[in-house]
Amino acid sequence: MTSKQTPARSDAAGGSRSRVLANRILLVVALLAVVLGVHLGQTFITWLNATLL
Amino acid sequence: MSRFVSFLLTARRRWVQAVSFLVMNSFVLQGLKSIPCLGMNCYACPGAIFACPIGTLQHFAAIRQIPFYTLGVLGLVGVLVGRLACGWLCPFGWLQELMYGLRRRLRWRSWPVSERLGWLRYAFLIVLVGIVPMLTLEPWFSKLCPVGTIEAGIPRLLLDAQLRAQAGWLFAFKVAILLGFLVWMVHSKHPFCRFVCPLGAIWSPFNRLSTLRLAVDQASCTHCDACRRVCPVDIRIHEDPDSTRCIRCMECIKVCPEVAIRLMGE
Repeated sequence: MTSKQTPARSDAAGGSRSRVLANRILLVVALLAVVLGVHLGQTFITWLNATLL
Repeated sequence: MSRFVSFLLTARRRWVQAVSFLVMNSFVLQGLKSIPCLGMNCYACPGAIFACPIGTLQHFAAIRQIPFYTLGVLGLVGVLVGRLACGWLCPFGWLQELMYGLRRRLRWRSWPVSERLGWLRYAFLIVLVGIVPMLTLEPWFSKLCPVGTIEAGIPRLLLDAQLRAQAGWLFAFKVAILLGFLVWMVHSKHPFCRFVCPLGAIWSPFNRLSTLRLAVDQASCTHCDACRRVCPVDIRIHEDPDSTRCIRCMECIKVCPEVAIRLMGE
């Protein structure tokens, strides 16, 4: 916290930083999940129209 | 990012929703059913070109595997834009807005529903999309889903006499659920999105940490509630700009007389 920042602003900036960090981590996790899913062949969909009636 | 933000603030959302509905059910673009649909659009619809993510999740629950690909795609969208797809792309969300628009013409009263029931959408996700398909090996949410009934069940039965002969009590029950929702849509804003939608439940928590977010200048806000009056999901955005119920439609930004609400990407 710089000398000009109020505690509330510092908390907000800290919250924003942790939110951005969580955002980036989840982005990487989601990308890895997509890659893993494609590698496992999960994009081949075979159950269409199974629930019509 | 700034171009995307300015598009969201200037585009006519209803037109985007209409185009989204037409593209998702364009029929001619077959072959994309390996891609999860970013909205509630039944994959059994004769014209559907994308896969229903909720149907996919139930399938993987039934075969007891982790749906990495579908969860990854949904997570990617959620991390980037939160529930934006609910407000701009979902065909069933569009239908709910059109139906609610009939309320004034029909002079039907508004039904207030406690937002405390919002947890129900998480219950539907966990129980009907996860646990029940895992135990029964049947996609029970899809079997009862009103989106499937209106987009796939009814059109296919109209087109196929053999299917009509097979329709039984379950189909009648599905139609009853659909009719119930259609009436509720006229009385309340987005009832399916707020209390039932498992796809919205998946994206809801992402509103708190997505790249695209709303911010409210509390010093400028006069709490006039203009934002709530136009909000399709009936929230006061100035109380919680990261609300898990917000579908990022941006209507509040457009009507705020104090220009206190803004869209930001960090």
